[in-house]
Amino acid sequence: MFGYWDALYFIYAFIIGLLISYLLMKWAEKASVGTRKEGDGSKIYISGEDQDKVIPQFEHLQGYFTGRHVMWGFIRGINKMFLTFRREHTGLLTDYVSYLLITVAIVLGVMVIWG
Amino acid sequence: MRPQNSDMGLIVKTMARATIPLIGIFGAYVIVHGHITPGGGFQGGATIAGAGVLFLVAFGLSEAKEKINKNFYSVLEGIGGLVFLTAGMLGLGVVFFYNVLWHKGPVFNGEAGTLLSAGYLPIMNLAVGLKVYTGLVSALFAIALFRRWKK
Amino acid sequence: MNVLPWVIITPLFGAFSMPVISLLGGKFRGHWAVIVSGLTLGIAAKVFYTIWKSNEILVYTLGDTNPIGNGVKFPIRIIWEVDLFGALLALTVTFVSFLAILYSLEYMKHDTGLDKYYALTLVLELGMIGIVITGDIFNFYVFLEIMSIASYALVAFRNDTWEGIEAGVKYMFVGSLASSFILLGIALLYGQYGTLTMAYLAMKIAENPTLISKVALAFLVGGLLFKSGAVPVHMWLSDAHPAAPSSISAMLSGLVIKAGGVYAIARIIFGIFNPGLHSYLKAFDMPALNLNTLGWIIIFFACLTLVIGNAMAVVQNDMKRLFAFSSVGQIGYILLGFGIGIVAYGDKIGEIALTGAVYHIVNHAVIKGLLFFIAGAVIHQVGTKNLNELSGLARRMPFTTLSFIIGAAAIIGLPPLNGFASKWLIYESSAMYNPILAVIAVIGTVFSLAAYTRVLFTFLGVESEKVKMVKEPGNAMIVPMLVLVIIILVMGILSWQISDKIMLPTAKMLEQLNGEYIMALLKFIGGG
Repeated sequence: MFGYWDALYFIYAFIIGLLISYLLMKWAEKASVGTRKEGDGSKIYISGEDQDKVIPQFEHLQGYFTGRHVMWGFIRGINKMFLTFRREHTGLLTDYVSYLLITVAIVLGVMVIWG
Repeated sequence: MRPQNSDMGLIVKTMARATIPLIGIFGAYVIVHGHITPGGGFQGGATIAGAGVLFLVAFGLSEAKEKINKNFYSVLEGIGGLVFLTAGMLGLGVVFFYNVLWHKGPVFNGEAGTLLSAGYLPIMNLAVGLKVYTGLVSALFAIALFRRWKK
Repeated sequence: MNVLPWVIITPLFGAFSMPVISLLGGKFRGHWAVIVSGLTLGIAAKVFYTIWKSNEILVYTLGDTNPIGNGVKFPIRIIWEVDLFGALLALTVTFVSFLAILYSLEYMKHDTGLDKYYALTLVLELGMIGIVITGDIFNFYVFLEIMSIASYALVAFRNDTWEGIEAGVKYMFVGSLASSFILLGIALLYGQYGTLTMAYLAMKIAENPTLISKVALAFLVGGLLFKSGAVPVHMWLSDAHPAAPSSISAMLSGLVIKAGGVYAIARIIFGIFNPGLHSYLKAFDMPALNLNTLGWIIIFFACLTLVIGNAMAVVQNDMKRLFAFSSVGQIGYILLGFGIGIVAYGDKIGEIALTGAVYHIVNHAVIKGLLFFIAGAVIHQVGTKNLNELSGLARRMPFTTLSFIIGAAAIIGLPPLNGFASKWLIYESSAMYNPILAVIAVIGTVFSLAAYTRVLFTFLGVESEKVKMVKEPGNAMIVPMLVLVIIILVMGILSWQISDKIMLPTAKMLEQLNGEYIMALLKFIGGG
């Protein structure tokens, strides 16, 4: 039947994935000679980025350990889009009202012309 | 700067003494005749609340604090709601909001257009009137009591 | 005796008796609210079970046994018309409200004015139940306003900070404008067709679909898109949800935007402007509305919503604001499901999309309830919701972190949790209808994954100064979270069975291929 999926298959897949990632980690630990387990050397395990480096325009992501290491490239790549979105969120009441009017106007216009 | 709880002058107070009972009587009339004339519980309650507000404005907050106990008003408001709900539940044997008093009696089942008719409607009007009066007076009282800034 | 009116009477009685109960002492208020909402949950479960068992629409007339007026042939009384969709929503609403009130026993312990808080919470619950059971469009508006006004007041409940007051005032101003658009739509329909009963209105519109009905539909949909927080008008949501107390945020995000937003859109489109009825009319060259246009409008706003909502969640520093933007994104999925359900009406694809949308409403209510409870626990114990200061919480609050991992995985849609099942149905139907829509939906999920990974890494990271002395919250906060975690896991494991047994009949009943919603009323006209 359409839309079928079984939770158990995903649990199996998840366990296998965990096993593979554990083996990968062990292999990487063995292979990376010269990387220390403490201090600056451990950074390499998290990502290729320096944790303490401040990224331009992402100063707000500073902290002890935010997700910036994981999602850095992703966020960085479409930085412009985020800036545009943030600019639109002004927090002004007049903007809220005008967006509401624009939305109703769009729905009304489309419904009257093609409805 | 005027003191915060000042009352109005003598003229206003005298006029208020004269008009507050009249406003109250008119509001009570609107509530009681709610089911046979235009108006009803909300309008009458709001009219009586006008008398309460006039009292608050004319005699000042400190005088009003002595006369109006806001916890008591809060309880009265709840009772108004409960009476309304109970009136709606009277006919629950048939359906919710079934006007059992009008169809079966024993009270408020007189000829249509007279004061003692319309079943649960007069009871509901009284309950709504009580709720609106106490609610509006409490709200105005809360606004008058609200002092965030430093004097 | 019919139990349906009790689902309204019980919370109403609880709310009105709250000032009287508070005379007995401070402790009783919370317990009274818990008892009342627990009873309401039981009654809603009974109503749901009855309708699920019989698979018939329940029509309940207020004030008399028959909705038809004396000597006339049309309905004049207010009716409540509950189908499986309404009953399912009522069950969800009462369940999450019960947990939220239980949670506030401890969360709101240090606040004052609690009799007002509990009374307003019960009134909020009452408004939502009223919306989902009503079959009269003006009655619907009244309940919508009850719900909206209670939520304006509750958003600004903690008035010791600027945040709550500002968010509440903004929400109130724009929300009232949106409500008046809805009222305008209802007034136009009443002026044109002279009736307010939804099922009878559907017949009248099919008889004579005028320009007025199109305009009214546009106003209704525009206002309700605001209430559900679709994207260009979602900004009140991202202000209001973080500012409210967390128990209220859970209700606002899990329930209010569902009952007052997407449920109402679905009910108005499928109940009053049924796409099947109008395409049937069109097949015979009779004047009819083109509901496909409306479907595409909803799909357009849905795509906007699910991309922008989830994307904005990635760049938030405030944990509750992040969850609020994530709610916006999830509303996008639900709207996408309904949009495809409209354009592919009567098709297998449309049915799958509607099933996914209905399922996602329930899943999102449960998951977002859990996530906001977690945010509340963190605020209550640590005192901040800034993600940059919350690093390393996992060591001090292990249960909260574990619940967060489960909730986040469920909302991203990781199998085998419940969020996956509903999202999968929506992906599948959109991929079959138009692959571009599926791609957009997956992009939204990628952003959602990014946002939640950030929070997760914050929780698991190096311990910061702020969290050094933190403990787990008390039992009244742990228990609701635990219940929701168990529900998520159980719904995840049994998701296919739930979808088959509950969600598919619900979607069919909402779709009403044979016009069951109208037929339920016509029974009275024929017999009366």
